[in-house]
Amino acid sequence: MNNIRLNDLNDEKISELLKGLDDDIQVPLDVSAAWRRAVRKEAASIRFLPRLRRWGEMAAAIVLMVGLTFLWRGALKPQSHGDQAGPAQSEKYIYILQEEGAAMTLLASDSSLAETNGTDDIDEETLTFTTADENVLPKEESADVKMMLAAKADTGAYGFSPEIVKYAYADLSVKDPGETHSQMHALVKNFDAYIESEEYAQDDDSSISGRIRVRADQFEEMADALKNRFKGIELNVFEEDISTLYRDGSERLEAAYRAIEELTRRLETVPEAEIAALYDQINRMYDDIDLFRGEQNAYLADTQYSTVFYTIRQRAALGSFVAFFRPSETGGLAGFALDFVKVALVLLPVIALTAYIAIRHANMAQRKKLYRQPA
Amino acid sequence: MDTQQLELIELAAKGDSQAFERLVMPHEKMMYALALRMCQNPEDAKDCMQDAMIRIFRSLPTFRGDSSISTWIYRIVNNTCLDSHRRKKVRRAESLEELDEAGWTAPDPSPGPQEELERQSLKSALSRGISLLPDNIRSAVVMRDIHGFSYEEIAETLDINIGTVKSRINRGRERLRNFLIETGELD
Repeated sequence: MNNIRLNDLNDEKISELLKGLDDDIQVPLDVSAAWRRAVRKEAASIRFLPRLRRWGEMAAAIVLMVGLTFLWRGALKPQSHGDQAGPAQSEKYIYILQEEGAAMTLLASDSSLAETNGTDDIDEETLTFTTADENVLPKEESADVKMMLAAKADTGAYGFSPEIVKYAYADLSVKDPGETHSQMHALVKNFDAYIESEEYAQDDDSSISGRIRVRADQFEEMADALKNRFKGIELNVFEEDISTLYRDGSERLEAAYRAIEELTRRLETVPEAEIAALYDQINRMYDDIDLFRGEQNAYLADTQYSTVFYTIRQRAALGSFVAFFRPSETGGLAGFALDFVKVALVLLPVIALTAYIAIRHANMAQRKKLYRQPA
Repeated sequence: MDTQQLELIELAAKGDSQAFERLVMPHEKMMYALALRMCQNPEDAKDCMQDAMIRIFRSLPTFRGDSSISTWIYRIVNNTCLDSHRRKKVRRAESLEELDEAGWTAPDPSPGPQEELERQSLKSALSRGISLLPDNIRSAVVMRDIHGFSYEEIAETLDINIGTVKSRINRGRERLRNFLIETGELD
């Protein structure tokens, strides 16, 4: 039993008794060895993780750059503007024959056009018409008109059904326009196509423009071939529905034929003095027919052969620098590899700089906290 | 914190095990003593010590320097021991021989000065009394009276306010006093 009395055992005494209670404690060797082993094992696994993390980060960076390269190459492909419908016209055409005495005068029924008194004043471009009284039409069709109408009814219109005309505008900016033009010539030969016309800029040879005519059913294929072959090409494709235009022209032709028929009938009855004027009128009608036929033939040609209007320009020096950062014109793996290098050249310094700033900032913040003295 | 300690913290945080050993060595005895007090048997204390060291090693990168390194280490050891205590059934030391194996110096059985003998006897009684305290009270008493932490440091370590710290210490001492009376250690 201690000689410490109960009365003396206050808080201070308790505290004094407890003080130094553990001074004699010795850490057993096996305890010390055990935790050291555990810590070293933990350290080894921690060292491996950063290495694994670094490899993972590198792989992620490569995957990111490959993906960006794919997107970049795909995004700058020229976009087709798609369909662009042409104007729709669907009007019945009729020649209004107004009698002035025995003379027949062609009038344009559209109020925006000027009236004409003589055939010489009639402007071909202003020959637009609107629906008029059918009583003016000859009731009986001539044999020629009948035959023509029969032919049209049988085959659609003059042996085919015009519908869509496709055409495209292609722009290229290259280092050597002549070389590119030769390549275009060679490519065109793979299709049922030909260079219809070409011209060189008169002041220098820095641009070449021209027209390629390609069979309509090969137009899309050739357009794709141009896009694949010439990576920097800007190719805009348009479509025009000319079926109504063609029908419109056909109807005008019909109207012209009917008018000729009527004028021819009148030749039998008009006084001799007026025959000359009547013949003038009839000749004017045939001129119109030629005009309309020309238009119809053009429509026919356009639906059978599409047109690509191209312009090849020489790239300026600064353009070459800027063009370096555009997807390469080379296709396949070589082109992809070149573009990958371009993406890496741009991205890697940015990533490295960002990472350096972030790590430096984190280290500084950590150091500040470590070196701050506790209150 | 001195510069050398800070350098050791930085190196250890990067995974240098030798730097870590040098950093914690001065606190090893305190850590083991606390583990022994909390776990009350040497085997559990050894396990807690190992777990606590690994936790400290893993947590070093997150050490913000808001408190001293010893307080921070103490907190981790205390929490590790409490976690272990909750998981396991506490096997109290049945005899002083077990505690002796754990590192406590057994009372010298040979005849010595009466005062020294009585002191040792009192120490043993106090040790037993501490082992009987509830965990939360024991932590506060051990930190304050045995290891000499300030109220603020205890409050920070145990994540309680100072008033609660003082209250727990007071209750702990009261229980110890009662225990000593019951065991007849006092006159």
